[in-house]
Amino acid sequence: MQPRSQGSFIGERRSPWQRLQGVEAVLAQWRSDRHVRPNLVLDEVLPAAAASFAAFPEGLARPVVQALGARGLEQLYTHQARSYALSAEGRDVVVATPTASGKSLCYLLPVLQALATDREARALFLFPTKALSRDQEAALHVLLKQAGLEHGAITFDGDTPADARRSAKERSGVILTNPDMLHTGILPHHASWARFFAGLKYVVVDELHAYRGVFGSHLANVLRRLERVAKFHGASPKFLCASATIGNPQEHASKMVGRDVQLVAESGAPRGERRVLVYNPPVLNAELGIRQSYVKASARLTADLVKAGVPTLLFGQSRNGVEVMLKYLRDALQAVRIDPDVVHAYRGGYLPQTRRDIETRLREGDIRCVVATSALELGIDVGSLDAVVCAGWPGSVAALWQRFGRAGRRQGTSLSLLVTSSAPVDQYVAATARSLLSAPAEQARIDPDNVEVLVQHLKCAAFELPFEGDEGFREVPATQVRDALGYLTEHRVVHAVTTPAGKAAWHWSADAYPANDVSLRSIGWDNFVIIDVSTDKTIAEMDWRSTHTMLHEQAIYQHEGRQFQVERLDFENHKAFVRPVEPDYYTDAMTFTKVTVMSRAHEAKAPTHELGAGDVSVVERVVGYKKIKFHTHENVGYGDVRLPEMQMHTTAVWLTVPEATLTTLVAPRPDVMDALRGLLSAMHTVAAVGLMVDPRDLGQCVGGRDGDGHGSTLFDPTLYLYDHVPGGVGLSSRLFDEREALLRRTRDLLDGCPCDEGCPACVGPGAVDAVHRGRKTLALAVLSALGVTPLC
Amino acid sequence: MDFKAKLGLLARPAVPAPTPAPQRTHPLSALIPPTPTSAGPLHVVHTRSTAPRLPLATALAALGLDEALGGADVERLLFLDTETTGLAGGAGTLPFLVGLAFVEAGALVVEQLHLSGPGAERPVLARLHERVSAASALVSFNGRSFDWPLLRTRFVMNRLAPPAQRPHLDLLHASRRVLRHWQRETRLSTVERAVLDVRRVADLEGAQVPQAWFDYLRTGRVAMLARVLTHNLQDLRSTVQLLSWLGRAWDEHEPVPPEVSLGLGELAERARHTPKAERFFEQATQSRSVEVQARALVATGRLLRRRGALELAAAAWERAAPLCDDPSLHLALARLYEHRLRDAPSAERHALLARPVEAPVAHARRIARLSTKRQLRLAGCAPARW
Repeated sequence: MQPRSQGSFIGERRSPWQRLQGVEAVLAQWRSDRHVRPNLVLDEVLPAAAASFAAFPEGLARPVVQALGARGLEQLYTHQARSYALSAEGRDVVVATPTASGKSLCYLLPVLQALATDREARALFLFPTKALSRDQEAALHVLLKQAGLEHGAITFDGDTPADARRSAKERSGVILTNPDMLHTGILPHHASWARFFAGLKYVVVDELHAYRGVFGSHLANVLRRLERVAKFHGASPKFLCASATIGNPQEHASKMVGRDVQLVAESGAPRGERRVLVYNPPVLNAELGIRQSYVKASARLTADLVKAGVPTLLFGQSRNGVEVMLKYLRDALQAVRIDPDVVHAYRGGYLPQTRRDIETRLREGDIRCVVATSALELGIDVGSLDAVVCAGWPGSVAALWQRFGRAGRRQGTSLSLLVTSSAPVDQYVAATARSLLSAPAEQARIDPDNVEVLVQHLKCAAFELPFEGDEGFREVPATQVRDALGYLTEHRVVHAVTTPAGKAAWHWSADAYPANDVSLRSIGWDNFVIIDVSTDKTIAEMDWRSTHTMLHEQAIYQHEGRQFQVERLDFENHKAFVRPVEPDYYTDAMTFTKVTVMSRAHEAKAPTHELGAGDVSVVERVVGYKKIKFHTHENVGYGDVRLPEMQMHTTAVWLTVPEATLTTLVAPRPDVMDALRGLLSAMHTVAAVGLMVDPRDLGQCVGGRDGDGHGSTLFDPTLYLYDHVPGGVGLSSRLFDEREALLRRTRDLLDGCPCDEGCPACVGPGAVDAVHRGRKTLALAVLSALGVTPLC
Repeated sequence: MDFKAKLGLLARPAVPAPTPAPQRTHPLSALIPPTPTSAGPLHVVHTRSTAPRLPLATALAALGLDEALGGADVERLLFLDTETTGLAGGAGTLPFLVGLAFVEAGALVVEQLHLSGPGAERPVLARLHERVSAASALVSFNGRSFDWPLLRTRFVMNRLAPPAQRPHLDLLHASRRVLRHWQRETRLSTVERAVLDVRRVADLEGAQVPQAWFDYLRTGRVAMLARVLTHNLQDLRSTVQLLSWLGRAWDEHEPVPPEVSLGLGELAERARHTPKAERFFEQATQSRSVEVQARALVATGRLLRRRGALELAAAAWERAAPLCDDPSLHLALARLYEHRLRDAPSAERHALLARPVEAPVAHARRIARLSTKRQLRLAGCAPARW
């Protein structure tokens, strides 16, 4: 083994076994590499920004000043001062400044002030994950100690020991928890928390942007219940929210807490220089628009960084992607004799202990690279990282910057790299990479009035306190609450009585604990455990919905870089039994989708087509899987899957192409159907980008007018785009409102795409089994027949 | 689609709930006529029977391992058992029948407070408040973690101040301690059958209790509620009898199986009633179960050693050793022989058997030291005392 060189003169004399070190060196290497450089579609610098300060606000209690002093602070950043001023006026506040700008202090200051001036004051901190609350608890303890305040701060979650729970209820000034625990563990037992609720001054919602879609809609309802319970105990807490930079923080926060929230968005914090790169892997097959695998490209570029000693975070799209990249990366490092153990995976399915361990080792520098899904995105402090690589578009501008924000120091250059896949949206991003730097961030959408979600929380609310008289549910009007209570009465879970005062009242009347039946994270809520039969140990958990695509029998399940095959899926008992294997392939599930229209809320008829929106039922079923070979990504086989179908009611927007319009096209029926699928895929891209939502939140399916029928026998083929969330979160109705623009931009996309006959960036490649040479031409002809003509 | 239509899309119940007919008087009155109280009409049932002999306060304190019970006035104990709409607890679980029992003029009075409907808890809570305030301590079966927190919650939910905290003797925990070597299960139904020889006829299943209440709410039928009353009465009487039995057993007025003596001995040891504990352990050695014998002997040895009867302690442990084959017992014996009885050969014999529970280095050192001592003694150069 070569002795490690030390001394001042080694910089001059480079030997082949000495590697380049640092971000700048890697950049120089990439720029001079003819295999890398042409694919860098963006290579820009975001300049450093100077700090902008404000003095401590007047009236700040002495213990608070003392605590700030102990941290070496003599002034605040402007956004911190601003948010303090607003909350001092008694307003609800949302702070939306970039990652690492000192957002926590924005909500900590008002809370500390309240604790310092009122012994009975209480605050509730909500974090989306347990891990985050643990981190914040440690920081808060220090701060409270520096302030000399005796109010405790304690994390209250499933891991809190029983005796700590008791003192938490009685004495702790700050409770840190997550929405799930608030929902199942605190609100239903609010009577034991009487003192806490009576003193509740502030509710802090950190990582507000994480509460989107169903999760967000659930949280809004949990907060409705929280407010109702607090009111019962005589408190009316104010909300302090912190969010990453999203497009609509104020609207989102206002919808979340049910009243107008003040926005603080101007950051006064300094930033170091950031180099932003976008790498679009080279085209392999120009005709089909197939590019080199982004997974491989990401692993290779990340390996360059790790070899150069740059602490790097690599984000994958899915659990599967993470494991595949981990394997590639370890292989690449092993080839140059670097211990593959410096790279670790980190993802949601890991057991808490494993995750804690990885976090610690990353902080200590023992691990040099972590490959993660979005789990790390949520503000866990892993120390200073110099580079972030995103393998594939994370679904939104906000998510991209949130991930990029994990790298960066106050001074010196950090590197942020996006590697685009050949997926349509990724290609759209690569083609317009320059605008990425100025692109507005996405809007977070929730629908707290989604009926399924609302009714579940009304149950929980009735359990917590009986409904009385003309009681509304925060902004839900009393009439609707009454209707829902009527529905629940029919279901025998609440019982209507008349109070002595002559008012109607509804009491919970079932032998059940409703919060246990309502999961905030998804509709299919019960987790499956994954058991390794070779050791009889539980190695991970997975949510119900993912189980269908990842844990069907014969699936290759990947965990910490090892492959397991699913031997048996016990659907009843929510267990998957796996055995370690070493295959040269992984599996990819194939899903069959069917949409049925249940009600037509809006319709717009044109002579050539019909557009509509309304409620639909979507049935999804995993019908089989493909075996895909590692490294070559060849398809090496198929298998069947028998699993129950997943049904959901949601909202959709649709485009019906009547037979009369289709007859004007001179093409065989199967080709027309194929072109329609291509057209839908282009519409999906445009819709996802236009709405700025994660493409996965928007489902697509070609069906008949009412949704039934298959393949080419369809009558009046109809293209559906639906909210991929039970009950919907309002994407479809927005699309219906902007239907003209949707068709227009789809036309523009097809017209503007340089490919000949369809590529992933527009109508997508043709079906595997038939080569429809005219896919794109035909899709354009369909658009023309629909009256959407090219701009001249 | 409007809100109502959307509700319609959610799953429909198989059988829609019947709409209850409006009632002028509470149907419960047919079962239990209301008594007017200052907090409103109260549906209450009183049942009197002969009071069994109850233990002294010292026994209560020992059974509950709670000093606070030692000062309780035994004449003013309040027994408590509720029937509820579920076992989950929380703000939405309603105790609809609060059963109380106390001794009055030499008789045992069971007082059952029945809710007439949700939202009508005040008269029940007011009476409960009076009874608890007048009581010196509460006695229940699993009431510490279930019934009492639930009742406290009801006070909060009705914006009433809960009564001041009373010492609470939970017989679930007491009987679990006493009966653990005899009865695996310690539910009230199994304990009463085993200990009190109570056999219930046509008793309700646990799940039928909430069902009876919900049926009553929806239909006004009270027949099942009558059975709940009987069930609750029986539970309360069994609780009282159980305390009486535990008291007699503690006072050694009740012949008990050796397995129970072992539990009583362990309890007495924890409550620092050493002579009593020794007597219980002595009885426990009569058990036919080798495990119980061994435990009793180990415990006896422990007590003897503590009061300095070292030879007797060693003898008890020597008897236990072949019964339980426990290396840590051998270790204890090795220490006792070496450091207190100065018997190196015996110490070495046991030390060799203690290997599994000792760190290898410590074990090796102990063996080496003991063999040196033995050889010194054999050579006659050891002083009489080290």
